[in-house]
Amino acid sequence: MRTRFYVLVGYCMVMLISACNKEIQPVVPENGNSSKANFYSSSDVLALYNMGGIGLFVDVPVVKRSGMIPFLNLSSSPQKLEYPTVYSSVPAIVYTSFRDGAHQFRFNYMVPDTATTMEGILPNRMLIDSAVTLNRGAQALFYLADKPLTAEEQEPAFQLLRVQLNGASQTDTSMVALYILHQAPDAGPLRCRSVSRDGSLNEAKVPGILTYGQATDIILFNTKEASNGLLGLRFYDAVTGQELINTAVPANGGHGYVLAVQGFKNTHQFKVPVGINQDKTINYSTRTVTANLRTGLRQLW
Amino acid sequence: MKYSIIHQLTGLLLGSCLLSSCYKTDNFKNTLDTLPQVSYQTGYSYRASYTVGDTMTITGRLQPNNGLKIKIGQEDAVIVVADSLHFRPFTGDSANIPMDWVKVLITDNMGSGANIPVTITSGGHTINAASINIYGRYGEGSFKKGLSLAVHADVTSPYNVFLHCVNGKGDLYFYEVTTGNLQHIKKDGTTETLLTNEQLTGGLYHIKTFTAGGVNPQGTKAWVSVQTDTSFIFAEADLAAKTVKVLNHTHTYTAPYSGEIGQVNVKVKAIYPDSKGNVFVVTPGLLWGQEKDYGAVAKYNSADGMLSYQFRTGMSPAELPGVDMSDPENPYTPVLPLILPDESVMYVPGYNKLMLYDLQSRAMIKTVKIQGEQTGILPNSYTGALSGVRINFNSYLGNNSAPETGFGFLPRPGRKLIFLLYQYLDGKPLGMGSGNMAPLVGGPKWMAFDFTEDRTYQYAPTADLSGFAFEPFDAPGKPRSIFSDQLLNYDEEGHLYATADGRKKIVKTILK
Repeated sequence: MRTRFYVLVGYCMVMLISACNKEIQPVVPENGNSSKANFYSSSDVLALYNMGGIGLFVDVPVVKRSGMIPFLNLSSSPQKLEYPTVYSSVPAIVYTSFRDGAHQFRFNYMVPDTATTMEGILPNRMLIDSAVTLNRGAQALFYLADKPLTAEEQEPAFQLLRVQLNGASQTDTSMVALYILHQAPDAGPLRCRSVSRDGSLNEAKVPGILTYGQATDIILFNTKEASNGLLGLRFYDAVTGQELINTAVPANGGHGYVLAVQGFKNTHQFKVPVGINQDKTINYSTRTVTANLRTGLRQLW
Repeated sequence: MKYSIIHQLTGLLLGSCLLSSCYKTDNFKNTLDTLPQVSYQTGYSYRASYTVGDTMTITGRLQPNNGLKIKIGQEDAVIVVADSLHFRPFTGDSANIPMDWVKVLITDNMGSGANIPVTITSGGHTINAASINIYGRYGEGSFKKGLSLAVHADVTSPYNVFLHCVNGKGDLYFYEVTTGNLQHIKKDGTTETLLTNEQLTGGLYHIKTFTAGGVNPQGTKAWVSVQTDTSFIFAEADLAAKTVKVLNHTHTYTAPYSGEIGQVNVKVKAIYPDSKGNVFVVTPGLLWGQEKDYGAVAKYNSADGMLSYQFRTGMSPAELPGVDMSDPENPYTPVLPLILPDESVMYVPGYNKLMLYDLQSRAMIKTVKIQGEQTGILPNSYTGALSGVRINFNSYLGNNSAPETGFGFLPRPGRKLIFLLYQYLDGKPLGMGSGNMAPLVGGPKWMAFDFTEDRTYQYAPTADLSGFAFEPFDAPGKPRSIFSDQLLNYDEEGHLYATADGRKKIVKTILK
């Protein structure tokens, strides 16, 4: 009898203690075995194409475009250079999910199957065949960028570059987050400087040397460092010290951006596919890519 | 047995603890009940920003008859209405909680700017509620009195071309088609001939069409773009020495586009000189084989004679370098960027929006969207935070604007654009029958966009147009002019200079 009473008191105590414990530990849902990716073509050469497209075959053999694969349409106007996209007036990046771990990404140039259309259907040339490891629960931005060229008037080559986001998708409203990616094929190594509020150049936060293909980790700027609503950045030729790019990031606190140094420093000639014959052979034409070294800014959040 | 006593004592002790904690909780609940509370739930919460003159509605457990005091900034707010309503937290919920509902007036003395504190005192308890932003109806350079219009100077022809010069000194420059002279209307309204047709051409070319021009803010140099019978000419005129120098001669618009000014091919459609010898020019675009007026922005540096492209669009020739400034929502609509080069700012108009770029770094500063009012509602919240204002532009801002709802868009230092709102507001899209609804919303009114503070404010409380109209616009019984009027310049007093009545008159604002 008494034992039962104590058991009852015991239960009450347990309940009491648990009720007093206001610190409720939220259960973090499992991220699942997935990771997120976004694909974007920043190539100045592909911008000259008006035929075909880029098909991305993930872990599957390269076959005819089924309509289900990620596809960048170069024949449409304007070109569709990002996957995935949604119609939205809010500038933000959308991701597609993959199982985390190792994957095989095959980027293929797709050509039309008849001479009357321009839409890419059939695989023509493997541009990139790359083994990629996706981190669990993390987001990665993949850039299809121009590769440093070896000679003029060749068929263009491309490289898959990656910006790995380190998970944090939010910053304090007083901070601006920034990732910098170097994808300018002929600009060489770059020296970066940020512009302080008094106009002086600062090297504390930005990388001293950034080589082609290299992306920085997250860089945080305080909006107090902004002048005229902008956080200034300068990029110099690491060898000659010549100023190549004068750019800036808007000082919108709480937001994150990825800044890509892109475009060619000098004018180059490329052999670009322009049409397809009845026998499925491709016609090429020499096209000029103008020197257009610049930065492209995409808003992450 | 020994143990059982200990157990009993333990039980008793724990029980008393339990009771005392219940007592404390009960006491705390009583305190909570008397504490004022504000509901921040959607549909009940108050707004994040207000304009002076607005009524702010606070909902919550406020107990108006228990010594309620609301302090906004350093000022005790005047309670104009207090009532109670039945709050239903969720649709379908049967709970029926009575809530208090209090309206206060926002006044000038509460302060202006962001994060103005709201303090609520009731039943002797004081809480800090969410802070608000207060925007004054006026801003820097605003007139406190209404403005009307007066004829400033007479012009001979609506085909005259005005040269771009926003220097804040009231200077107006134009190419007079009837004489071929370059004329200057001074601030006092007198007109002088700056360059005769012979001086303007220097005998080097014959003007068939005068496309565009720009004068530097000092008024010492002008750059002009003209079309002759065979070619396109970009020339620099020295207004003091009265000499002219042809910088570029283009027969066909092909590559090379950038480089030494004499060596490139260029067509100039708009000219924005700064005070340091840089000239920003707008060049054409090409779309499906057709030339479009505006497609890229280049910089001509008069010190080294180089033309370099700064911004391009999807309509630019493929070889043209630059940062893409296309509007992702309407990539193939040619728009004339509004440039104030000395401030390093460029406004790219869009449909009900503007994109702001920094000229030096070529970085986009921000995109500003202006919401329209919902169907059937008169737009009346057009002063305040840009995120909250509702203006029925229903068109592009800037050169493609519909002047009946928004006219002018004159850039001013401090990232401001001055415009005339609601010359004519058609009632039909509002579901109110046709006719001019502008007087119902206080229109027409001179307004300013302030992109530093991200708000709009009134430039003058009223705008009396009295017989003048800024064309082109349609209204029942009113023919539409084919000539677009322009807001041209302002002066030290803040008065505005514009063409009116389809470029038949030059008008100036005067205090009413």
